[in-house]
Amino acid sequence: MLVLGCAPKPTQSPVAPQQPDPCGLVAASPSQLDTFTVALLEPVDWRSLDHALSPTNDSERLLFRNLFHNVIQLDCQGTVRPGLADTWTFDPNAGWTFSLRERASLAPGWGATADIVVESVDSAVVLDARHVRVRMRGRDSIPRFLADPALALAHGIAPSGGEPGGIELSPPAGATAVYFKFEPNGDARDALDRGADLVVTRDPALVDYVSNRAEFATFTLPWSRTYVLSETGDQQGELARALNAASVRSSLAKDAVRADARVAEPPYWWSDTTCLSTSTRPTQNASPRVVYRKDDEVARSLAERTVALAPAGSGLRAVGLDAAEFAAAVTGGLERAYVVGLPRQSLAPCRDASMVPAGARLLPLIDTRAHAIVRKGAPPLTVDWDGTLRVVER
Amino acid sequence: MTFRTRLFLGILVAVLLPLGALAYGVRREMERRLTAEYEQRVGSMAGVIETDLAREGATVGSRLRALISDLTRDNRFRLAALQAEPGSRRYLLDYAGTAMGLSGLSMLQIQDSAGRILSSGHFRNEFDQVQPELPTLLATAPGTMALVRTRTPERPLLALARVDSFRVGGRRFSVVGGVAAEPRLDRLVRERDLSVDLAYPGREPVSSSGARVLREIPLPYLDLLSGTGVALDTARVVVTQSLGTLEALQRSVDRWFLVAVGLTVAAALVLAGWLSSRISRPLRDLARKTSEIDLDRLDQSFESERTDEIGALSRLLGGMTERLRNSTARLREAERRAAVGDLARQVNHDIKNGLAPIRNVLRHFSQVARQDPALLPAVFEERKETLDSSVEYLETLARNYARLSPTIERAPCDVNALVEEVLRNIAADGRVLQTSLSPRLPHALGDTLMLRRILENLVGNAVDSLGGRSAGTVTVTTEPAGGDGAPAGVRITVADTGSGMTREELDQAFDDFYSSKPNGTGLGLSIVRRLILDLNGTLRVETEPGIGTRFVVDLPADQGGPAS
Repeated sequence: MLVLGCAPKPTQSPVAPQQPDPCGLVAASPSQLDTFTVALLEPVDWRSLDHALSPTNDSERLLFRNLFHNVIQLDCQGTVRPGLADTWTFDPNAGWTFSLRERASLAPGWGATADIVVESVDSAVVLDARHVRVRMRGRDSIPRFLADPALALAHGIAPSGGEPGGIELSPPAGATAVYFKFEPNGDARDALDRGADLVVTRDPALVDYVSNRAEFATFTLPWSRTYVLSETGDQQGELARALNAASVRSSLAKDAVRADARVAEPPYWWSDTTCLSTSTRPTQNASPRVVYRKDDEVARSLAERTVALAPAGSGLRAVGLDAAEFAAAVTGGLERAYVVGLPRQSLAPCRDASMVPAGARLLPLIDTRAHAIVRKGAPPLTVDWDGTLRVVER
Repeated sequence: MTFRTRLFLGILVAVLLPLGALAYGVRREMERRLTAEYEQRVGSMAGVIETDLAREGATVGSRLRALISDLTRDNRFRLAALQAEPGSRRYLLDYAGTAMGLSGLSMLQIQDSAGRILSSGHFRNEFDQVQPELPTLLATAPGTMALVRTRTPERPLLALARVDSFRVGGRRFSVVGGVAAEPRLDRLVRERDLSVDLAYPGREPVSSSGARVLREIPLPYLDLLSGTGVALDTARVVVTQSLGTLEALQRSVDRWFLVAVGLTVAAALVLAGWLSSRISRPLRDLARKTSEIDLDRLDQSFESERTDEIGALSRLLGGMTERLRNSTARLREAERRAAVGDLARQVNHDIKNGLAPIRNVLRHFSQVARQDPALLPAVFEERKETLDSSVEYLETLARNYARLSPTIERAPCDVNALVEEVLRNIAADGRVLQTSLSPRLPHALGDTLMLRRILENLVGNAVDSLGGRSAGTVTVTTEPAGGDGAPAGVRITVADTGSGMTREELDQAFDDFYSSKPNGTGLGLSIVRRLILDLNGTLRVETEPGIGTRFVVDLPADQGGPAS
């Protein structure tokens, strides 16, 4: 099992494409697959541009990362790599100018909403079809937020085939076709047994299952999600105290969740952002509930454990909410506590900070990571800054 | 209060009292019987509940024994529990959840000898909590089964729980298992009106006003959620009876009672109406007929075919009316005779009044013929008008009597001229007859003949009242009356300085046939009063014995006529 380590290393120059990819995944085999089938085991709304620009789960992230491309890419170590742009220059007066590849182009309106992603953007304008200029306020480093999915766009690779089975990417001549197969809520073992070549999973039981299957290679992906407990109200900190003991936090990672988990480790992107309001809302009528998204098993286990460790007589309940209800609960901020899985890395801290209630105190609980189960002979894959896999174009 | 109302109220009371007693009796008997029936059913239900609880306890016990049998053979459990082998840790945590589902339990907990939860089925993440009280107290509970209030992550859970224990590798473990209590209690109730609920410290059954507790079955109770330490307490299985059915029956009886009352009221109204039509209407008819009887209308018929009291009363009234008819006939005959007499006397009186001027003229002629016959033609010419006037008066009188009922021919009358003519014809015999006639006097609206009769009677009476006195004065005054908004009229005052009248004389002065004069007919003032009333006038008398009398006559004036 290959473990990828990620230590962000900012760079301001393109990486030579010939260098070995430190984030690459290669499941070597003498024979290459004609079609590379990726099983997407979570619900995917592939027609939705909103989902494309802001994926809601690992499957959407994997699909849209391969359908959409950014001006630049960040690899698993935070290294800037060419994306739609293959060269870029910096002028202290004009800012960063990116020159796109020959077959790439941007619409004139691209970048108009960049300041929504990162507030330090001064301007992001399309100079012409193949040149983009980005100027930042008070910093000269390369604008890494350009790798955020919110600024991605489809390019070149037109999907063929469609619902209900999946989406097939038309490959360049001689390349392996990639087929994204929709199997929402399906059993990953069944998917692999039916011929899927790639499954991204956070289920240790699946990793156990394939450990004895020689045709698969298992890659451990970077820590990609940090679960936090977000407390609100006058009793803020009470649950954090119950969970803060080292043994308890260790137990959370080791026993409470059925996932590859560890005790959460800093740094946390929200520590540096000013987007999290520090003012406490008056929540005297807070509901005695610890809420979580009910499609998130890890969040549920953590919420249950929080309830189990809460002081006796507190009357706390763990309640799973669907996505819309949970978003409304976060906006309302009237629940006693929230268990939220935040991205481990963020290029848009202010946007991602909206995933927790304003003014809430965050207690990082555990980090989790996924595993990529790849059939040997698959085309080379690379791991992006946020742990998402990308099929390497040849 | 009318007869019909009395009848209605009487019928109402007579019917409603027994009806109310019947409704009360039905309600009371119904409640007594239903309560007795519920008591009997609850008695059997309590037995069923106790049996069911015991059976549930036995079932939980047998399931726990089966689990223990499996656990003691399970090597992975042994490794995780005894050696804390990391690879088996997750198996241990998940064990209770899996086993609980397989064994049909709602609660399963495995604890070590220190009371630490190793695995919890209903709440996987409850591990490592220390709850030694639960198995200890359960073991001491009567029947080794208790109602345990614990929780799942989502909600509190009430379970009928038992405890068992086993040894693995020389260490003691306890297993607490249970089944959800409330669904089982719900299944016990097949009857709509009975409900079974759990009461325990901190929770009493929701008592509504429409339910009553019939039986309480005690049950050992442990509350793991109180936050104040766990102690063995007592819960109760409470069997309550919903009073809904009884109240519905009572409402139904009440409703029918109200319907009966309504029908009774309606029937009473109809009956009262019918009876009143049979009784009060004939009485009302009799009263109406009786009220219409007077001497002119004695033709009411009181014939009746009824043989009851009303028929008898009707016949009595008929007899009375018949007697009245006979009496009235006799009275009218007497009146007729009296009227003829009155008429004769009036004719006599009027003719005398008409003959008096003629006699005076004839006396004058005789006197002239004796004393100076040469003057007779001149005197004749002078008094001829008086003779013509008297003859005309008598002729008119005769015409009027011929008509039996003199009619009033209202016309403008010159009162001053009439006064002067009447005074000319009165034999004053040395008394002073003086006048004070208003030149602005309007014509009176009346009949000249009637007015003349009034004046002749009043002046004649005034002269007569002077009696034997040689001195005395009779004064006739005319003046306009009314004004100031009152209808205009003519006032004639005849005043004398005669003997006057006492109070008694005045009271009888206008009675027929009363006269204070030796040769009087007693009709003069009576006729005057009738004539004045016929002319729509008024008569007032002012008199004082020894001083004199004033007759004041007010007559309506002719509104269109000129003043004289």
